[in-house]
Amino acid sequence: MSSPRTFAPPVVAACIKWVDLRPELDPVQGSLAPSLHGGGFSAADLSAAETALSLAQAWSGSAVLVCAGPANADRSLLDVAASGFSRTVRVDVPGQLATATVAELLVRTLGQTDLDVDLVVCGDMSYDRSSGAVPAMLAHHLDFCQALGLLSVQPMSGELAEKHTILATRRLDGARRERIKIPIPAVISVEGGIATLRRAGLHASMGEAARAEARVETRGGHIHGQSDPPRTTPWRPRARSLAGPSGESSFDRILELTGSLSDTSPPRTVKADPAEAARMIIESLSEWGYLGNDD
Amino acid sequence: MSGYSQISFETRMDSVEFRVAERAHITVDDTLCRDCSVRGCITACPANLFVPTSDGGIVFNYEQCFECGACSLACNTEGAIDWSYPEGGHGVVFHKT
Amino acid sequence: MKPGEEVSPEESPSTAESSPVGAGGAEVDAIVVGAGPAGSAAALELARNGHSVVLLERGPFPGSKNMYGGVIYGRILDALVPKWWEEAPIQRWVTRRQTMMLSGDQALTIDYRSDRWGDPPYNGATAYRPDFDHWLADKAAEAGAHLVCSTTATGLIHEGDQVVGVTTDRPGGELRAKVVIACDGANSFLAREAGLYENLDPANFTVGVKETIALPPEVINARFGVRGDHGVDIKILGCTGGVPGGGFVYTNRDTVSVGLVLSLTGLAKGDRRPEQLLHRMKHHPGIAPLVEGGEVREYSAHMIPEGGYDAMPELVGNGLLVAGDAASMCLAAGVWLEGVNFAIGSGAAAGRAGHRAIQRGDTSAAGLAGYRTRLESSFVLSDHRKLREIPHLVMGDLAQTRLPGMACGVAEQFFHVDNPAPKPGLRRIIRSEMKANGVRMRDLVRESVKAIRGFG
Ligand SMILES: Cc1cc2nc3c(=O)[nH]c(=O)nc-3n(C[C@H](O)[C@H](O)[C@H](O)COP(=O)(O)OP(=O)(O)OC[C@H]3O[C@@H](n4cnc5c(N)ncnc54)[C@H](O)[C@@H]3O)c2cc1C
Ligand code: SF4
Ligand code: SF4
Repeated sequence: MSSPRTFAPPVVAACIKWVDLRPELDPVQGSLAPSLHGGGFSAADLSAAETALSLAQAWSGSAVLVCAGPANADRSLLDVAASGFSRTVRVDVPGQLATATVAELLVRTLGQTDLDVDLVVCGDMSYDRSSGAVPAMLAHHLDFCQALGLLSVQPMSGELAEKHTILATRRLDGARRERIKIPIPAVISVEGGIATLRRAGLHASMGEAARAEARVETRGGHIHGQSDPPRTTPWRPRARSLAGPSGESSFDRILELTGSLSDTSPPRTVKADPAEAARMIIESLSEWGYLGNDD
Repeated sequence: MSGYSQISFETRMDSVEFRVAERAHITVDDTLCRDCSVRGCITACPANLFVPTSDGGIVFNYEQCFECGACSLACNTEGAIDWSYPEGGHGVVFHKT
Repeated sequence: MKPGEEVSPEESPSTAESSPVGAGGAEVDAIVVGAGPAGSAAALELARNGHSVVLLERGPFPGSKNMYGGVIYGRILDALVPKWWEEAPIQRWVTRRQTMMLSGDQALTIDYRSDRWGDPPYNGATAYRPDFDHWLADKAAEAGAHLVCSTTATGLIHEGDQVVGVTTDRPGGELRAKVVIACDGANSFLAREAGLYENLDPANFTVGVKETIALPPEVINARFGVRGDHGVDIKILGCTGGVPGGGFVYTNRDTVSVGLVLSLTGLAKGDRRPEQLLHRMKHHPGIAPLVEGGEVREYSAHMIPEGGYDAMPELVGNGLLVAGDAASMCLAAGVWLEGVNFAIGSGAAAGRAGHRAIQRGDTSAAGLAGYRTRLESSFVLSDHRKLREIPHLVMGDLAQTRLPGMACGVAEQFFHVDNPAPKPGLRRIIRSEMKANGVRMRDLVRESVKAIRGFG
């Protein structure tokens, strides 16, 4: 899919998810019920929408809005659409679906030739699930390059401007930052608050209100045969079972537990290409017992 | 009377949703407050946003405002409070009222 | 990236083609500012009569900025939305109304109930405003009004002395129309800007604060003595800590609304804050057993224009009508706290007057004058005119503290069994309680005469 089509005006898709921003918590049962008026988009998704509009504007391309959500998302979706998107597609996601399913449904729309998307901009995490994994899955399925959790996004100037390359900032450990160049086609995700969605003009908003149904194209629906019960347990790393300390005295046992005097493998720094690095990470994790047999 | 006690003001305000706008919709020129003997704003504001300082001034924060308008009517010092509504779509959002 | 950069309406893909430019630069027939009950009723009337109307709301959805005590008297809706009770988002139907007088640790309650109020067409219903206002605005939108939320009207556009539109806080935010209907609520900036208010007296305003307290429906039914979807409306006199005002308790499905309405000037002069006074009332032995143990789900506040008939502004300007709270049409007089019905009534009348004026092609003040006549002959202004003295009476010191004290005292002595002492005569009890509460016969007679005349 990564054919060089860089010189045509690119299509930038903001890919956002409608969520319940204020679900109601039953104080006694601890159960969650959907709120009546609390639906909307996370700050990260709104930043993604603005980022998409700005890039499309800078490249004289067009911006389309793709949203995962149920039918009652349309009103909030049109509010965002009025800010300047040329097309609005809602991928029908009726309830809570697993991250991978949502990603698959989105890819079916984003990968369609009538949209012909060159860059997908997502928020770095949604409020309801917040695994932040959808953008990575999109990149995988679309076979685009990816850069996630960006802190700033700018179109590059100079000769790279023509190729529609992006200059972005990303967090590193230890409060450091890296600046990266991202060629399109790509999937990027941005943090909330890096951009504020521009206010839609009054007449644009009036137009949206007038043509509410006509403006949202609905796509997608269930992936057949796949029932997808929502996850009810919290997301936690898998627990690792450890044998209790066996030392004679409590002093020995504490030494054993804290590992103070035992040899540990020293940290090492390696340089590797991404595929090799991924392999090494997985190797280490399974060596340390973090990966069960089922993975 | 036992049974339940006063909830803290913070807990009270935590029950309210505010979609805070970037621009402050109310500003207080507290140089004018120094000559004010009434100080009606302090007791009238249901969100307790007017906090007197030891040197006779007022500290005001706009974020948790109900947009009720009580302060601007209660204050009779011309120009002390500059009052407007927050940008559309922002500010307080009620749910069970 | 420049987040502030605007896409001008021309660039934006979905531009003005849907806003037809009519005569005299008007893009639409009417603009209604505020999607509260007044605004939605006005927009509904106009849209039904085939006019293009834009309904502007500054909140993210209709009702998001609106708070009240809790009871809607819905009969006014009969004409607008037939069988409204089958679809409106109602919490409970009021079948029991009480007036409670609190003094010290005493409470005297007048209690009326009628299960007939629990059947169509009903008498009163509790509802949450974010639900109710949203529903009513949707009715207007279904009838063809363009509901535009998250948009604050910031001022009026004049041409000569005619209002020809509004400015908003959106980019390219000017909108022109033949008539503007201001339903922007208690603070009514548009009516003030148009100079329709001669003077704004803070003494005509009260601040309402309330807590929505979560309790299981069965507990509410048991505590308030109701079944199913029946509910209770309690108005409270006294127990406002020396600040003129009153209180209320209403039942929703799984919450109870408890609140106070407090004189703004009284609050500003006093040394206690609204939530402290509310806390105090919640602990009164007459109230505490009703709300105890519930969790505060939401705290809220709003202003009420209480001045009544004499505080109303000019209702009609050139190209401009004012309805609902924006025109001080809330009726707050002791046992009554009604505003939603007055807002709907006046809003609908404004919509109809606007319709006529647009049809005839004259939206000057003269062309719109039918609005006032319409209101004078309906309950909106006739109730207000009749009850014009009551707000002052209710907010007076006699009704505020001395009468509840005296009434509770009389009841206590009358019901208290003090054997072997013989029962005192009622007349003696009243005389001694009047003295104890500083109520002079002269004042009582004067205020009673006023009240009888006032409630007429
Ligand atoms: C504590 C309290 C208790 C009450 N109890 C009751 C009761 O039990 N029963 C009853 O019937 N009434 C009650 N009322 C009165 C009732 O709430 C009001 O009278 C009623 O809401 C008036 O309706 P309205 O449409 O005129 O104004 P509002 O309901 O205030 O609606 C005004 C609308 O305009 C919008 N708006 C304002 N300015 C702008 C602008 N510049 N641009 C765009 N939009 C704008 C607001 O967001 C709002 O949605 C109570 C009021 C209070 C405060
Ligand atoms: S805001 Fe007004 S009332 Fe409050 S202290 Fe200042 S001048 Fe006085
Ligand atoms: S508008 Fe109301 S809540 Fe906001 S600062 Fe003024 S008094 Fe306080």
